[in-house]
Amino acid sequence: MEVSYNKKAEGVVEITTPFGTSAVLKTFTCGHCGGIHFVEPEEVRGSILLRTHQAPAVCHRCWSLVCPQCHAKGNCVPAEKILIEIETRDRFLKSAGLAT
Amino acid sequence: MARRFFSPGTIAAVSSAFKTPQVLTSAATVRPKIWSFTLSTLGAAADGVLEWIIQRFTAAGTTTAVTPRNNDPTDPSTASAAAGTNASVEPTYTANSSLFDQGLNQRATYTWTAWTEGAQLVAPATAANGLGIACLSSVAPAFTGVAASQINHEE
Repeated sequence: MEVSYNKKAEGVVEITTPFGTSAVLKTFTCGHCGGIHFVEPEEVRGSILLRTHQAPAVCHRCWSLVCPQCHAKGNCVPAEKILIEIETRDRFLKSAGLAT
Repeated sequence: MARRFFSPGTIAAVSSAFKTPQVLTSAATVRPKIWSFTLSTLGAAADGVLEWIIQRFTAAGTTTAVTPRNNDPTDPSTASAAAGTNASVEPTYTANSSLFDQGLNQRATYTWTAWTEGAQLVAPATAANGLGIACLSSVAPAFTGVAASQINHEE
């Protein structure tokens, strides 16, 4: 867990098995959909590093890490914008007397 | 400094359709942020597989209320967000809003923690909206026991 890949999106998953072992995996939070996704782990055989961490895609508009699904859409809709839209819609409906 | 709370949840009997052990319902005054959650089962050990999702909802359904407890026992504040467990009426989930979707062996306990500010799962500051944890068991051997989850959130 020594490698830092993004100061605003890092998470970690620990999966505990009934046999006393656990696996720890790095995650990142998509800056667009807000979902949790895994960072591809590095692959080491013996002392040889076969592959480093596969960095997630980066949106070049909001500079956040994005998941493959959001990356494939090709647009930038930050999670913050989605939340603001939900909140704005609710405030509008309340002001119009259409929501409690 | 954000105030931190935790709330446990269970679903009485997992089935082949999604059932919700836990919801975290937002309020118009606050954006609750899940910074950690735990998923597990409480039934007899076997190798069933459960699919777990965390998804946004726009109506919380009907659940048994759970008062979020302070992580810091000396903190006298109460949570603005509301927690609920064991849904008898499922929340109205927003399509294509899944923030987490994984299959897990029922023997495994799964803990996710956001390490940094900005990695949390955030619910909008909108009443009746929020985030729900749901699970199903659709692959043999089916699991029909109790599934448990815990949400740690801050606001």
